[in-house]
Amino acid sequence: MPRPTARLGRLPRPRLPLRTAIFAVVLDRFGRSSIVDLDESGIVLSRQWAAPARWPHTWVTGGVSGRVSIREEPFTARDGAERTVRIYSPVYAPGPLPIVAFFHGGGYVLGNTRMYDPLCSFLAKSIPAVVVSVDYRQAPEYRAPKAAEDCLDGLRWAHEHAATFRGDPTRIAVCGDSAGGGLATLVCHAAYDSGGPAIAHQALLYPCTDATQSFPSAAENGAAPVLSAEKIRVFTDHYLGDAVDPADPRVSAYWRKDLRGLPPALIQTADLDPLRDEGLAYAERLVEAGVPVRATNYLRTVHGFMSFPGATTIGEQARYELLSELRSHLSPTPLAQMVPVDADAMAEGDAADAGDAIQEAGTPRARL
Amino acid sequence: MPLRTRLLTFALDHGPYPKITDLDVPGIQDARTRIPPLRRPFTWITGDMPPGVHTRDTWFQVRDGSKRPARAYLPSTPGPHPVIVFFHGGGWVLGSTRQYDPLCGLLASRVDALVLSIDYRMGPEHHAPQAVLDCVDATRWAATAAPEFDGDPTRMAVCGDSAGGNLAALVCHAAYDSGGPMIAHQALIYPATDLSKSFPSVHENGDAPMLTEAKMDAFIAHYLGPDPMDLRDPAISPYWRADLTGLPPALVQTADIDPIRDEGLAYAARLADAGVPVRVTNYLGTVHGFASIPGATLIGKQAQHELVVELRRHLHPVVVPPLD
Repeated sequence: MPRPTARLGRLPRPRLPLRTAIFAVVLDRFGRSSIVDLDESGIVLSRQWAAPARWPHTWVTGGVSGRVSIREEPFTARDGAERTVRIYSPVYAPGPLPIVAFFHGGGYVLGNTRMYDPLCSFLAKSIPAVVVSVDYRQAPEYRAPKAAEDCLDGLRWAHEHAATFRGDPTRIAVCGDSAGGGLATLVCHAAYDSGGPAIAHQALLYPCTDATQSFPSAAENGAAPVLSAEKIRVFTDHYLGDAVDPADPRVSAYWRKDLRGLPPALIQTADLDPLRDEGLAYAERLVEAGVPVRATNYLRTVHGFMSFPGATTIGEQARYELLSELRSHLSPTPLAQMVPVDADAMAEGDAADAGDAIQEAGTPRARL
Repeated sequence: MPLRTRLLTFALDHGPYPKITDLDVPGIQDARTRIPPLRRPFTWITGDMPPGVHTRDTWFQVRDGSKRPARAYLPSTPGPHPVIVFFHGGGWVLGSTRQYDPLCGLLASRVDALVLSIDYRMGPEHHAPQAVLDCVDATRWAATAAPEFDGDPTRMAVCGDSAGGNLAALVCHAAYDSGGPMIAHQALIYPATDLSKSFPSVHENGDAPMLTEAKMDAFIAHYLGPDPMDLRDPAISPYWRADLTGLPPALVQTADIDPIRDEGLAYAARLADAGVPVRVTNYLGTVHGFASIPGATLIGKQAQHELVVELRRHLHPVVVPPLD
């Protein structure tokens, strides 16, 4: 049995900030139908929807950067099926740029690449990098592990065709939220096992790592806003069907025996989320396997917070952490190469020049 | 910056509170005794002393024979507890152990550790590096005296904010150089690591709330005294130590709107380059001193959580059963 996250101990659980509480109530009571009530046609219809890129939606989701060009390209999955990738390229950054393969969330059932335009365009502009968001096949039409296979095929396509979108195939990271975070972990496992492509970093946002739901937060936050234990059960049933064991490491990253040699990881979890403990437990197993890990559990927030940063108080901080970690593992110069400025030059009022010099050296400063 | 932070820092900066830039020595001594009381509404901003934590005032002996006070925070749980030696902030001039009751109490209760907060000698009465020597001696004392307080000296961390972060970093250097005591973790909260003010944030945030460049100059002048040391002497500026290898794992927290942000980040980067495990977090939308005013910030709880989790990881190592 998985062990509880002993190192965190018993910490008080502060309530949600007002804006998050209001957003959660609106989403759960008055928002679109929950997965629990959707039949197959309802699921297909629900996948079409993405928040429009205009206010008031962008107050919550964040805007879509105009300095990023967005286009779609087809790729062929291993079984010959045609899928697409959505490519976000920063317009003004000189190439070749590092590549971030992104896998969207939605419980392997819902969600689409367009929904993540705000986050993907933010990453593309700010790192800067080419973000390749993979439109993988979803359940219940396609059961596990089809989604993970499509994601790996999308990553391989990006690796092979990097030159066509100013990408640098030697600097690749993977990123995903929720089910997409789970897919990102599985892509790292598959890439390690099959000898490539090399992945420099995995950024996992409140990832699914354990379909057996064995960790204490699954019960503790079973009635949490946005994602409840009941919804997880329905998502998992759709994705696994009857054929796949939920403890199979091809669907549950936590249950892989050997995590050595995997890429450095950032794991962000939400405190009031049934998936919190499986994310933190996976982080601890990575640490034990010698993988450099940064894990941050964000208090006073719920599952999915990176999709509605404006409805949280830590949205900007979490985006900044994600950006800093991806950039430090993808940029050729170490992120935090800060050099002191000559004290005399500072005294003479050359602070602006000095600041420019440091900016060129690549500092963690980023205006969001 | 969030509205609540704006309001509090405006009140502090423009209200009738003593400012280091226009204080004489009696004024400084008086300012050290002014502490926000541990009752509402002050505790809404500073945080309260957690229930179950007991304090005990004690003393330790310094190398020159003088006795200095220290304040112990004992958790109510059965021991032995790991030990956190805490150094308070205040520019090596102001501040007191009692002012940090909420933070030290929080560490004692949530890390489940014995916290020893050190009353080191400050400027302008005592000049650099007296504060450093006091803190080094205090840490040695903590390693031997911990059992008296049901502490376990084999699991010891240092922690400090601002000038206290500077002292905590220097204590780690001294412990490494003299072969002990063993320090398992250093938690540096917006530490001062470079008294020569060589990083761009000093200018970028020179007029920030809470700490300004003028205040930094005043603090450093009081601390160094009339016969100043080299500002880049590694005995007072940890950034300028040539070799940082072998130092304890570190947490470095910085505030984005803070003149000493970049020196904290740069020290963290140098530690990482030297192979030290480092976790560094720059908190956006907040100012110098946020750990003392958690209720007036949006990230106060998050920063406390990070501090507690990092100290716990290094002070309460758990034996991990293999996956079956």
